[in-house]
Amino acid sequence: MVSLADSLGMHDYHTLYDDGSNAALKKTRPNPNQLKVGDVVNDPPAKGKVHKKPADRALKFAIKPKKPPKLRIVVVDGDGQPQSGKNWQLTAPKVVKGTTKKDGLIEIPDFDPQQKNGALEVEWQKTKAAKPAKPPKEKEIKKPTYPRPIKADEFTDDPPTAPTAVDDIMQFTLKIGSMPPFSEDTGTRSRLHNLGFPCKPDSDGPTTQKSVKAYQRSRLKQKTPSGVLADIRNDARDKHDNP
Amino acid sequence: MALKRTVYVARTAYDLNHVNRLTVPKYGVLKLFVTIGSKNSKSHLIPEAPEQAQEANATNDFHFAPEKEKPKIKYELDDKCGCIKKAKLELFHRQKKDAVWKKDLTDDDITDGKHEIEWDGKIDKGTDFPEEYITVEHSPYKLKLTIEGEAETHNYSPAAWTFLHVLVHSIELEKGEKDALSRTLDKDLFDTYGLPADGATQKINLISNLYSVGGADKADGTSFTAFRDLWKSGSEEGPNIPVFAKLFIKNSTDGKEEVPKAIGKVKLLWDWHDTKEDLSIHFKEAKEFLTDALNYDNDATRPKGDNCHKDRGGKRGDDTKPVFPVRGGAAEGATYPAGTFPFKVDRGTTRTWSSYSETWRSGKLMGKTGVSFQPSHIAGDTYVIDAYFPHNRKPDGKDDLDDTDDKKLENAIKAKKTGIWQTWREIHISLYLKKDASIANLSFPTIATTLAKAYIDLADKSGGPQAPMAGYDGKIRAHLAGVSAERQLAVKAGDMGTITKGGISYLDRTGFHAALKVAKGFNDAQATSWMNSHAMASVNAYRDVLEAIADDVVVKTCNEYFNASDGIKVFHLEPYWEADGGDRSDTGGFASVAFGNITQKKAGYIQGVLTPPPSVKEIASHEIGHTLFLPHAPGRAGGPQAPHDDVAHWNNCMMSYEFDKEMKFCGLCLLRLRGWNYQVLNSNRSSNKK
Repeated sequence: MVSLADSLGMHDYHTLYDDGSNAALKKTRPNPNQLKVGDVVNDPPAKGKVHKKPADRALKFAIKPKKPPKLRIVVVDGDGQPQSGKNWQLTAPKVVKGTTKKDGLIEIPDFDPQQKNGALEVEWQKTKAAKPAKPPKEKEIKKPTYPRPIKADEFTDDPPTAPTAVDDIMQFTLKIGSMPPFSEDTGTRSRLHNLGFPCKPDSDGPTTQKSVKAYQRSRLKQKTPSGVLADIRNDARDKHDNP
Repeated sequence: MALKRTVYVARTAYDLNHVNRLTVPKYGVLKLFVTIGSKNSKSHLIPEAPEQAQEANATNDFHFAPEKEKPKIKYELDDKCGCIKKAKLELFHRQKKDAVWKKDLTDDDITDGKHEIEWDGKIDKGTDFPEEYITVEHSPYKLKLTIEGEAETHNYSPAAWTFLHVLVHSIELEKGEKDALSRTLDKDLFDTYGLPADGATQKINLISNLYSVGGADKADGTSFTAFRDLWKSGSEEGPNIPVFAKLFIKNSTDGKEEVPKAIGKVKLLWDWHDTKEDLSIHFKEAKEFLTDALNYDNDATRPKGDNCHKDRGGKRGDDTKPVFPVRGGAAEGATYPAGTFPFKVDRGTTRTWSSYSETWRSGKLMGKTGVSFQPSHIAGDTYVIDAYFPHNRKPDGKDDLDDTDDKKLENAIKAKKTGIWQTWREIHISLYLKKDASIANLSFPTIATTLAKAYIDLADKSGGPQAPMAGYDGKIRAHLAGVSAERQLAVKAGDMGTITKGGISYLDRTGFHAALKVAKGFNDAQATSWMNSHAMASVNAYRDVLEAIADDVVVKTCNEYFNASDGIKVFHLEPYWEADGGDRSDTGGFASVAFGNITQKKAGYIQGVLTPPPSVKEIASHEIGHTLFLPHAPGRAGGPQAPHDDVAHWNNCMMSYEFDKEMKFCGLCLLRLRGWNYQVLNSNRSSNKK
């Protein structure tokens, strides 16, 4: 709605959103920033403004400035706890740096409402540096033991892939303005995705169900999760959208 | 490459404050351990993963009894967002890159939180695991849990692992199977022994009815070689005694469990040592002789000991004649070919007197192994058998026990103690005939006491005394027909089977004189003259003639009673001969080599009677000594000195005629009876030690 109003030359999205012709839409889309593809927004006729002023003098007309939107992102962990003090950098569409606030918030004011893509890097963790591998010191065995101590290097299975410091930076590709309304399945799935669950806006049923169950277990502490998307719709909205 | 993630965000209008919450999805394994009761294995993570508290008393020594116990594999996943896509449990053993068992976990098994799976050690069937259970063979094991997640997520602890063992609790030796033997001798022997319990001694009675057939074999090496060769097979010497070992598993509380399928193919080291010979059973002079003879390179051989040294015909110190010889083994199955030793046995490379044997992984003898115990044939030698399972088994199956240092054996589980094996000879009385039922029976157990000093069991297999000797008169009269007509006159008329308890009954010299007169039509002077010219000039000369007649016809007559069984035939005559007037032969016993039926397996002797000394026991022992190749001792018996203890040291050898003291086998005779090569021993006892 914000970008639409902007593209229609309106300085305030309320001009569009609050227009009587869009009253029904406003009712179903309480968040003007979350429209669904296919939603119909009526463009009200432009309202002219007439000022009667003498023509023989110079006149100044001040046009109200546009009121651009913000980009507000909160970095949280898997339990939903805010991650404060994390360095971040917006590299597109403009470059901004900062550190997450106590509540994990990253706020980019005066965000160009026409920008649909962005890139954000967050240094979200510090990988624990592994100590350099030292060959285990062979203990002198005075009294024979059975079993003998384990010699780990006698096992030759493939070692697991250890995380590295490279993983400490998360590069988010931002699809701006693409968050569907929570009331839509795509909206709930998108929120699940943002909250870290392996679900995408267009995920299939089984994938969605698995994510929903994981959400119900970890966020709702349910022992017998239903896996039904509708059951978490409101909660996912609250946990994702609410400040 | 950094983590990348596409997210869907909404702008926030200037007058609103809603947000987009973004999470970096991460997951990891927090813990993996195996547990049963209060026992827990230790969980291991990669160093980059956050350290986790271990379970109480967690250890790298966790063990359990596969199949019998059902511990739980417990693990904990941190996956709040459900990002784990795949997880697998894998089991590895040392020096093997590939897992020997793998289990893919289901969706329900890979959710956030704690999980547990009951597991009794069952794994996939494989060449190394034909019974589908983890085994001692490849212990220790590494159980590893590996997880994989969705793209755009962070796996901060991709794996956890824990170690577990299948341990040997104990080893028990047991008597092997008859089917493991091929030689008839060994099979016959099999039925005579059991595994000696700790503190007990089990005699290995080597039936060896080997007897002298003349004078020459009492002076050459036959007594040694015949006995040795009887129990020889190719290059191997001694009997074969299958001794098996059963391995038990240690359960989680260190208790004992019988789980053959959890053993696999492992090796036991078989070791032996002898026990110091007890010389207290001998009289002073024999003890002194034996002390020196046994004191021969006692500490120089491996193992140390006083069993008969290889220089004297034994196996001690002889690397070419192992006590646990090499065996190829048989294919594992429900059975194995009769006559084939089932287990593979190889000798130690460094500890050459010891051998390794392998267990069967499956089949009839699963969880067992064994050796063909091959003691020396030398009587009196002792063996204590030990089997060891090494603590320190390397991945290639080798261990550190193959070393001459006995202390290394402390690094092993030793089989439950068993007793002492001792080699004995066994000879048989295979026939006991008495001339008359009223003759007091010989007590073979009493006679056996003298031979027992040489570790010879004299076993009475005669079935008991038989009397009288059927058809005796007919047989002896037939043989008397071969004697001169004049000498036949000395033999009394009548049924020789009933008129005397002795071998033959004669007229006295006066009676013979009278009979000669009648037979020849001689007058007194003519009869006397004839007797004088035919070596009967005196009573003693006449007696010698009677002795000679008996040596001929009584021996030939007794010879006809030989039966087919191996062993000694005893003909009990009281006396050897007798004559009118109460005269009797001075022959107390006679191990004649003139018995036509004697062979190296069959001997005979005539038991006579004398007024003691010597006693019946001494007479019998003396004659049996002859059948066992012993020659007379020097002195009144007129034998050679060389094969006896110095007469200045012991003059009353059982093989002598010295009756001033109780006769007892001298030290050298004792060793010869035991099977030692007497030809390398010296009458001078002090020369026999080294």
